[in-house]
Amino acid sequence: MKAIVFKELRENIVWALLILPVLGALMASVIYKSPNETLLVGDMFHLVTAMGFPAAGFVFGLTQVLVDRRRGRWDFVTHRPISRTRIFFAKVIAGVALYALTCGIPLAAAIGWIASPGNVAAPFDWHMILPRLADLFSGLVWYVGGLLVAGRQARWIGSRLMPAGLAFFASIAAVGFAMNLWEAMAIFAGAIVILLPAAWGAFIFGGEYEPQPLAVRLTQGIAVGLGVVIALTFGVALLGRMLDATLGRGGSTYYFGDYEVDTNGRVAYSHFARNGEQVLTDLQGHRLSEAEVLNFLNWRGYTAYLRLDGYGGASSMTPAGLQSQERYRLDLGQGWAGVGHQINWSYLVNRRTIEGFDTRTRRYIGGTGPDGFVPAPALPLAFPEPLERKDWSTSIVWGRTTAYELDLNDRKIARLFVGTAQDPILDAEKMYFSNSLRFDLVATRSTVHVFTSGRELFVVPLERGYPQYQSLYVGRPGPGRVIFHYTGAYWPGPREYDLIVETDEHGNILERMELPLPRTEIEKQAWWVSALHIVGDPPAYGWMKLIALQTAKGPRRTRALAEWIGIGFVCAIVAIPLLRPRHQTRGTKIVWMLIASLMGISGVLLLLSLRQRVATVRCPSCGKQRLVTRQTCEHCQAPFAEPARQGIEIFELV
Amino acid sequence: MSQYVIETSRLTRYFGPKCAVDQLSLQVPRGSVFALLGRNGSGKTTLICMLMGLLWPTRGSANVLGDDCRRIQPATRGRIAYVAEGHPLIDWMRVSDLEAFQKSFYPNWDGGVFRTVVEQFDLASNARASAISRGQRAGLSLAIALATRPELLVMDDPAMGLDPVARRTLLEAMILLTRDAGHTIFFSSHILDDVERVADHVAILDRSVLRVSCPVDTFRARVNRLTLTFAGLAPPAPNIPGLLEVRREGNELRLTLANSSAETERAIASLGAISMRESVLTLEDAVIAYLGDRSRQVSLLEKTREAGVIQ
Repeated sequence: MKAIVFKELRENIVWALLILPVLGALMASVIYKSPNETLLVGDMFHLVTAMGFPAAGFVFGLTQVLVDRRRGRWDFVTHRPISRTRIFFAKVIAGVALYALTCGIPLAAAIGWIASPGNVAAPFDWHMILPRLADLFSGLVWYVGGLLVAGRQARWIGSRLMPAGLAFFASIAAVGFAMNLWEAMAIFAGAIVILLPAAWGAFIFGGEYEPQPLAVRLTQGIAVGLGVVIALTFGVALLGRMLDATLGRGGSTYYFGDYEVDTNGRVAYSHFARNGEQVLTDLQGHRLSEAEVLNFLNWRGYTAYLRLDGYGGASSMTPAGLQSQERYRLDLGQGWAGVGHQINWSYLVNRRTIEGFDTRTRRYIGGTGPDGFVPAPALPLAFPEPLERKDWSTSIVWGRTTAYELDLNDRKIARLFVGTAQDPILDAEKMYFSNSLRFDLVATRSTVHVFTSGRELFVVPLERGYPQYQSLYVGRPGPGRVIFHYTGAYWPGPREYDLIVETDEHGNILERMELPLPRTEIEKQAWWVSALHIVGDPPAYGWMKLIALQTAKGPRRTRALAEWIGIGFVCAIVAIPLLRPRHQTRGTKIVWMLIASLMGISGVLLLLSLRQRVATVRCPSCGKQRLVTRQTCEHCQAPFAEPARQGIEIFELV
Repeated sequence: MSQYVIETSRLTRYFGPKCAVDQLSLQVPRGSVFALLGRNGSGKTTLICMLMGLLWPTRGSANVLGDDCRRIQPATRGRIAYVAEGHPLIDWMRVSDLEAFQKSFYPNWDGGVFRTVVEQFDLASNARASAISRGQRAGLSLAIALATRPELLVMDDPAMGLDPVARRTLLEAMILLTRDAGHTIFFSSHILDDVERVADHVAILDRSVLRVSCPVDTFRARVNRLTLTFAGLAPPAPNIPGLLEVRREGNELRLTLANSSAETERAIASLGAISMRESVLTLEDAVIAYLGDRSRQVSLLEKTREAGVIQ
């Protein structure tokens, strides 16, 4: 086994020597181009590892099998007094080792460089290594996928590449859904549990499908099936785009209405016409003049936007998964004061500290905790609770109970608001009315607090409770007036209410206006888009949608049901001729028809990908076509006759 | 211990609708040098691949050293040396690397045999497999195979593309193995001269069907050639039992027959030839008679002469 491992190492080191410098160069170029970023969790670094590692793994998997599958070479490699299973795992050991070295060496070097003080003007935290480790493990799934792709007997233009679909799916799932490394690992382990036996089966049986044990065939079926579904989904999307380019209007188009407030506190109705133009009317429907429109457009510049659904912070807006930058560090922007050049400020999520880095020396200059700034080399005190900030505004940061006002230029921090755990902070934002007048707002589950110059001006209770409310715009049209505009959506679109409350600068309500719901017009998708989805989507997906969408009732539900049943039935019927000749048992045929009815065209394509054509010959006994794989005719039970004698045969046993 | 190292029963393999090996039942006696003959595409390589567990039979069974060919145990594989068609090796390895590589799998590796064969082919130990001649490659493959001291040596067309000297050296190396009683060589070849020199058993595959499996002497004894001379032009050959080959040239009719019997003699006598001459066939002639087109009674040369293409 050692000899096979050595052979594999020696044979594939050339790939390692090709890939390693490429990966190293890509990582070096990312570091070189943006030395002031937190590179390990940066988008570019993520791109290099998320694409480069799987590509490297796939290349190793493919070449390890393809090189030995050349005619003759396969015989030489596999004919030896050890089992093929041991040969296979010797290959895997060598492949994994080479892959780990090829990707691990540049990654370790990059981590070492980034972690060393003076190289990058951004903080380093060992947790930042975790998403890159996930990418490294993702490459292992692709490696096993490569072994299976190379080992299977299938056409390259057919289903040969399909098992890569599972690796693709695992990578996407890990990037999109894994919140922690162990979750990503669990996804990869799940994929490997399916791919590895399938790759083993393909290797042991020289790529032939039929002789493999049922469980192994099942894993191969899952891997190929998933690939078919993904390919078909992409195919449908691509076809949709092509048809869209030629026929136009691919998807449903929504025209949303919305309410706007102008700098004088007037309310107007806004909607987009079908030509894409924004139209503003008063509440009676009269179109506004251009001067009036300008007042409305300016208004948003003087408002604070608060989300009241618990997703106010930058990292909570999009769940901070394993691969999300906000999981490790919140960028707080730059400050210049004191040094005359840029200082990068970051909130370190795991350390709960705010740290500054000089972009010239690329060294830590000091940090800010809840009690103020401390210069380097001391580390600041950690904040007692995790902090949040807006994407576009870093002058206020807040935790569950405390909001802080930050001045990074002067390196100052002050507590703006201290609440209770029972009434936690949902969002905080600043609102400029002029250069000299700034309001700071903190929204909790029950109230909105308005501050100016660090002093609380007034408090108003929220009109509707968390979490039903979505957004609150707060603006000041002029002295003595504050407008609170509540909407039941955080984005223009359907909502359940629109409410405007005007108060004075002491929080006394001056006016309260429930607005009629804005109109939403939907231009339905073209018939060919529906048809494409009916044909391309697996009926099982349709069933799931119907179960999930409880709102879809009545004729719409009946029609959808009929469509999914119909396409499932058609696909099951299409599968019948593909299940001939009859080398499958009745049970197998029923399972395949069920798969076809649930997976639709994907199921039929899966059947085409996996079925092995078995030849038939005419039975001299009953005259019917019989399978060559069976010892006796399946119709008349007659055995195969010996080849006809010609009188020239010479047989003599010793 | 069975007296046969290879036994197949109705072994069949299809590639799609094409039958490559049709219900082949064969026994290879222990200690024999067994030659498998047949034209290109007759199923020799397919048969060998099935025997070595590299191809899955469509139907039927085969046992090699007592193991089902679908599940040859690693220990049994250790008793079989296999030289595939084209002498595949790991090209980047040097001769010494290949020896070390193979040696690690075979506890009873015979370095002496390896060196003897390698020296016979003038192979330097630091020569790369990719840089040696075709003959040397064949020698190296054989050295690797013989050094494992196999009970059964299986070779697929080992002499393919070799010059006469390399072929002769290869034969000598094969004979080296058969000195030990109990060792068996099963090989396919198109070089009938070599087969005649070393083989004691022969099997002929004719369009995927096994037609002959017997000792070489038996084969020779059962295939004979008669040249009949007629007063006028030779008549077309009638349907004689065991007729392998017919050649009509002028007033002569040349018949190659297998399994001659009284019935055969009667059929020949009824042709009315004025004289009959029996000649001894070489193995090559006998095999060619088997592998040729039995329906063709006129040679290509004769045909072209009749057509006036050549004089």
